[in-house]
Amino acid sequence: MNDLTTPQLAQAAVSQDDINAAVWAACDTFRGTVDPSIYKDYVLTMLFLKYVSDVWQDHYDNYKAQYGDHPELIAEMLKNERFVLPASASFYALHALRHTPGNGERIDKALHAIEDANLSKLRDVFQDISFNSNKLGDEQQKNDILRHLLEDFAKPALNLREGRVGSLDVIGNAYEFLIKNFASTSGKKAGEFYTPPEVSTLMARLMAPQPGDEICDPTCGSGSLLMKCGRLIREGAGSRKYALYGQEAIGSTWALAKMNMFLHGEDNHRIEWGDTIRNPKLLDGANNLKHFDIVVANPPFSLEKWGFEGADADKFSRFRRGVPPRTKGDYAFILHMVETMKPGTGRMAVVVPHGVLFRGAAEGRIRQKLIEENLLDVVIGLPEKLFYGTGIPAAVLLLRKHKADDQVLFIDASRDFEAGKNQNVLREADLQRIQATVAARQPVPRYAHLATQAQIAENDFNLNIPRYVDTFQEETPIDLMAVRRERLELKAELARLETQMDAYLKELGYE
Amino acid sequence: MIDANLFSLSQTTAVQSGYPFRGTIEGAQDGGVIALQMKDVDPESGIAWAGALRTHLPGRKGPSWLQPGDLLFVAKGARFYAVVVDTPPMPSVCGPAFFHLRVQPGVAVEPAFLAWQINQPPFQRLLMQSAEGSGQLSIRRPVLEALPLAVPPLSQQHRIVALDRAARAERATLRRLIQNREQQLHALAEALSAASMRSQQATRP
Repeated sequence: MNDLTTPQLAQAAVSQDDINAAVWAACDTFRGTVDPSIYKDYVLTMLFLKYVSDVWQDHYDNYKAQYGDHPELIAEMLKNERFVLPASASFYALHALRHTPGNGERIDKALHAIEDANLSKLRDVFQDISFNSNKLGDEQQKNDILRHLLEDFAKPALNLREGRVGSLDVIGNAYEFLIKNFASTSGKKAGEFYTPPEVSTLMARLMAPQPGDEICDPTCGSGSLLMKCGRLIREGAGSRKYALYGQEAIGSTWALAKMNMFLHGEDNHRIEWGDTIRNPKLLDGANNLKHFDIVVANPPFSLEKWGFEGADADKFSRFRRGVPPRTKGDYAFILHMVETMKPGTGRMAVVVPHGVLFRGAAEGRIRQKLIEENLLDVVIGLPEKLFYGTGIPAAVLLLRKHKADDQVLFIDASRDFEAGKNQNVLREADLQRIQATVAARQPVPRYAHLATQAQIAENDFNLNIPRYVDTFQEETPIDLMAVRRERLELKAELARLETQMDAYLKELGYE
Repeated sequence: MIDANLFSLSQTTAVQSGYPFRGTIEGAQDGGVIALQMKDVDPESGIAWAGALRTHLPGRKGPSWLQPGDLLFVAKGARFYAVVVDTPPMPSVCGPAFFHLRVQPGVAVEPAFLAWQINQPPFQRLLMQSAEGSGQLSIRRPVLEALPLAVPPLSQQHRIVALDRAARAERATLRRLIQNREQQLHALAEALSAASMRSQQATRP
């Protein structure tokens, strides 16, 4: 009897790790031939296609079992699916033809057919990805690689039917697993500026998202940070009443964000494609910048060509506190975020390099204004080597439209982490300590300091964390008399050793 | 001058490979065996038993246990050297980065003398000439076994070992003297800045 039940159980209980391993193995097909920054788009798109096909097939089979074999009836019922899948565009149709040349063209056509059938959701999502591209090599190599890719995704481990996988999150997590691994294996090139999961968790928790909040990430990348915020609301209040907004400059990353959102079941989102500084896309009815309850971002560190030329004449006057320097975009993103906070509930968290805390000139003047307007709430210094592709330590700034007091809390969290070989990580306890300190808003010796506006002004509005949080270990006072006594003892010991060694040398025949 | 006879290392000493752990050694709190690794050994201070990893031995084959008076020879990495095994607190083996040396019974060689000679420039030169490897250098066992030792009578060996021990003590004492002087200067600087702070506070209105 057991013999019969065991395999079924094994099939039902599919673990996240199994799926992660299977998708990671699918990348082997590309390794050595194509650069990770290129093939990540192919693997991630294929995962999305497989997911849509499997869900479709799952529902098709259910209807068939329920209503018998009436293709027209079933087809009619399937028109109400979340994603409509034209028959020729199914993964399985592509897989069946994998040995016939023309894989690249067939996949491209399938993707466009899916896009056309789901225009409201997937408009333009597949425009930047071409499986028929010469990036994959000549015709024969391309057919070969894609055949392998189709076969990899046809493996039983990657059967993504709801009946097998259960919750949607498993697929979404596999997707994020891939994005994270691409980020950590190839650094900045493939991961652009992927935020480490603990940092985005920290930012989401510090923002304390509430049901009904509108949440925005103006440099959303693959959208993980937004989804962390959404998940907190769902877990906390069990509510799906929130809206996610995002903007991403790189077309292929924007497409990844869209697919990521759908794979996580976050259908209620608006992710726009475009440069946030030069061309903000998230506007309200009157063509002004839309305001949000929560604005979070991990903008590119000190972006060189951020759009200085147009900043003076910015039609949203985001730079009225001053124009950031030509080659450092940090404050451009911060100011954009400040301008998109809602007047009452608006709050924001942004990851910045430390230079933002102390650089002078234009940046110093902008910083001074932000502090004088009592917008800056908390400054958190993070450990070094947390981010992929750069070892520099970063800081998280929290700003708030409506602050409880006019002070700024400084937290030096740079010494709390688990050391890794190339990468450090924040542990749950480290996150909790930061959260608790922010919540308490009280000084903690050698960890946190609550600075008044006057004190910051006294420091010329320099926010360098060591100026406020004194981490210097007080040394025990030295007893000079004891030091002197020890000195005499040591000298006597030396003299004794000298005599001893002389004696040995003499015995050995050296005098 | 000291009289000495020339032997190859294998004439006086049995050389065995370290325990063939595969990959990372799995630690176990309740393990009954200590597995010494490179990090536990230092040419100046010897073996740090306290920080060493406890484990269970996987294989079936009886390992070559470390005994007091054995030598560990570091055969891989930036520096080749030997340390004498003092008293292991429980059954212990060394990892594959080491060779396990034991002076053969009846041979008039003091282990501490052997370690000393291995760590001295003439023998080190021979080791560097025989080291092989593209990533990191290592010494193969037959190569080590063939290297020559100059062995004086036991009484002389004892004196050399005693001299070496005294020289180590001298080094340690000199280091403490340097630290001691630094403490004096620190105390001076602290007193100076404390005094100036006090006077500044006093002059404030």
